Amino acid sequence: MTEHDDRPTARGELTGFHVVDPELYSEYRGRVVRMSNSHQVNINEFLPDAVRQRAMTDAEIAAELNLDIRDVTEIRVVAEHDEYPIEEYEASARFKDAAAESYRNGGVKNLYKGDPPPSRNPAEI
Amino acid sequence: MDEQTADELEATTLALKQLGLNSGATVVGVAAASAFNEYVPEGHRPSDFMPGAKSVVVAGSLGPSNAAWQSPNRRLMEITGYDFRENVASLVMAEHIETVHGYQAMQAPALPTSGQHPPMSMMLAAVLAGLGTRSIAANIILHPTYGLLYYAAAITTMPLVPDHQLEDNVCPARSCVKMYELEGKTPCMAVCPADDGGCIDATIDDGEITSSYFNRERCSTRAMNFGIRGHIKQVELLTAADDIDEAKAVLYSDDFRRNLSSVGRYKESVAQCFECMRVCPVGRYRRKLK
Repeated sequence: MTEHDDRPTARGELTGFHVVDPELYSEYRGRVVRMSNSHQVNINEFLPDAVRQRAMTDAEIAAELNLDIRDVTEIRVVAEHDEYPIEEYEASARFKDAAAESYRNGGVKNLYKGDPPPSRNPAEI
Repeated sequence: MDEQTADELEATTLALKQLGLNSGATVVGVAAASAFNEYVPEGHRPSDFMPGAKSVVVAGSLGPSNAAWQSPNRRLMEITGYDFRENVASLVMAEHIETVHGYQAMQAPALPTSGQHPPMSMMLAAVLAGLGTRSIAANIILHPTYGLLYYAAAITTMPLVPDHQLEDNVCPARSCVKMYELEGKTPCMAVCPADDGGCIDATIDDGEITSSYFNRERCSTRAMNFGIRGHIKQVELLTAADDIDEAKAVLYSDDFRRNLSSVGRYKESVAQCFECMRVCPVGRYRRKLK
């Protein structure tokens, strides 16, 4: 703690926007992701009460982890972007190419399954 | 505002639904505002946005035409897969409630205001209004006749006759149960398996879903392949570029332009992947045309 800790910059409030401290992010990212809605487990309304779950709100997570709600929101939002690298976006495009093509060629009986192909060039697959 | 008899309330509710249908909705249902309380925490309920809310009127629309699903070019649905008809219908119904009946009404807040989080869930609204049930496929709400629909809603202080939630789960379809019994996967799980580079997993017992898993963040890389998230990723690349030539290769790239296009036109920024829905049997027979 320093005598300047009450400055906006000490709270990560740069240029008027709140940002999260990288160390705080690293420490809590995993827990916040698990408690939020990124990975949805058993949220179907038809599941029995004992099985059905729901994600926690930022306020609930903040209370549980004893954090500032704005830090929780920032950790959650940054983690949403951080979950997959840019390569996953390119892989997603390849997946859709392959899935749509297999459906066009053979319908449901010709399902494309699994990982995206490694290239958009059929000659390289 | 006079007290209405039960018959009058029924007639008013039906007339409002018809207005929604005439305004572009494919289906319209009504949920009691209080029905949300069992499923979502404070801050995400209709009464959090409109104190005294009594009803939520939900409009659903089809999005892509039936032929679009069969296009040999999947990019067609990437840029035309979403339209705003359900939003128009919900706004028309809200204005009608205010001008004709004198009750407060407004569009429910459905777009994300913090990361991926919308203030209110339109998927839950659709379930509570009896329009469908949550499926294994990315937790998408399936209407028993139409399958995938897009939903918007209006919140109002006006009392209306609420619809009942569907008694039977639309998902899994009988053919999916058979496939699951043979292969351990339904068609949507097979095409986008969480344990093999995809987003979806579930277990089925005696024809009913007994557990479900959906990886929203991986799905976002597919269903929102181009848009805000892709753009942020490319800006991250730019900040690490060593020289102007490397930066220009990113800046002038087709994907950079595509990301900006999707950011600029919201219609293009969502609903860019239909692979789990393309193989879903619910509503598929309707797509068989001349």
